[in-house]
Amino acid sequence: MRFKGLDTGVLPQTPDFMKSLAVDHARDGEVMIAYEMNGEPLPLLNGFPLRLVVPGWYATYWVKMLEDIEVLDKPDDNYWTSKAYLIPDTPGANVTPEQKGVKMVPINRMVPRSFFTSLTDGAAVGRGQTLNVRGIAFGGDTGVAKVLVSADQGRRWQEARLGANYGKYSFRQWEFPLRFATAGRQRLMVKTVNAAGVTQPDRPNWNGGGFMRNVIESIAVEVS
Amino acid sequence: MSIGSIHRDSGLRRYVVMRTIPVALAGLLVVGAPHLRAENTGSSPEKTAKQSDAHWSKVSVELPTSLTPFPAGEGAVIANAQCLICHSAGMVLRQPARTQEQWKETINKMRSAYGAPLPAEQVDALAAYLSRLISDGKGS
Repeated sequence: MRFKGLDTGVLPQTPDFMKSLAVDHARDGEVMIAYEMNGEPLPLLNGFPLRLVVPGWYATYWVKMLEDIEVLDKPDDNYWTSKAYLIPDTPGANVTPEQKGVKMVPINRMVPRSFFTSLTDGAAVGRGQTLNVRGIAFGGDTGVAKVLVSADQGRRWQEARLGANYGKYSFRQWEFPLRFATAGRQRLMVKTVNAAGVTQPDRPNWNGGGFMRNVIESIAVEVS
Repeated sequence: MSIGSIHRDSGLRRYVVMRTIPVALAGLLVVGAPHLRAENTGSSPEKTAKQSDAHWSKVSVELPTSLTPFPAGEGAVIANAQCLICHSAGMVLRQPARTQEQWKETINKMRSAYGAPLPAEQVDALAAYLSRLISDGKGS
């Protein structure tokens, strides 16, 4: 099923913006057309007046200013589905820059990620102080099962406390009390494990488009 | 968006003018919306009440614009005239460093995939300019 938005390129030669989903996916009861956000009409930049919502899939499918829906009887060969937003068909969409001849497929399900929000990189914290470190996580194409924090370069991971669960596609807040006993630079890491058991990689994935990056995030704090 | 402050460079002018198009589209959509609502509300009175809550009134937006030109240098004239037709200079300036050969690939993709009217004989000069411009970690 092909969805077309009203937004177009500047030049007439630029392909019109369209994305396709398999019929069964489009009809799965989760994919929807939104006409409101928080009880208000959608802001223009969010796709006023109608926007496709594809939970758990990357935003390129969330066609803004939805204009028409077309049922195709053959695979979609339009530019935005068949040539743009392609990822290597490998685990984690990971390849090396030199790797050639890899099978490419349209980007699809999101991967899990987690972030620190209460501390910025290089933040100063007091020695002996206990800080409630906080952040957000999302599971990608399913819910968050747990969030793990490490203060020792990833040797030991401890489970953070999770905030309210607003549904499997929502951000999930997390918090973890940490006491900084020794002075100096200390690195904190956070990763999430989603409900399907998928977690974040230690090293960044690589592909030409920079897609699906979800390496474990880390920040440094200065304890003094 | 202030039309009065448009740069005289033709690429920039086209860029700004085109950025106003989404606003025009929104105006058209507002006209179309009541029709869609009327169709939906025909089916059930309950729906009529619910649907009428979704009043699609006119929205006014300030679209982000950029009037930043490319930094001076050999090839900047091409960059300002061609790249800014579709996108901002910032989008280019925030790219990681690429070799001249890699920039040629990117520029040729702009020509073949998106229809950029950049003449083939300008590709080398533009690629050289961009690889010089973003070479020392200035790009993020």
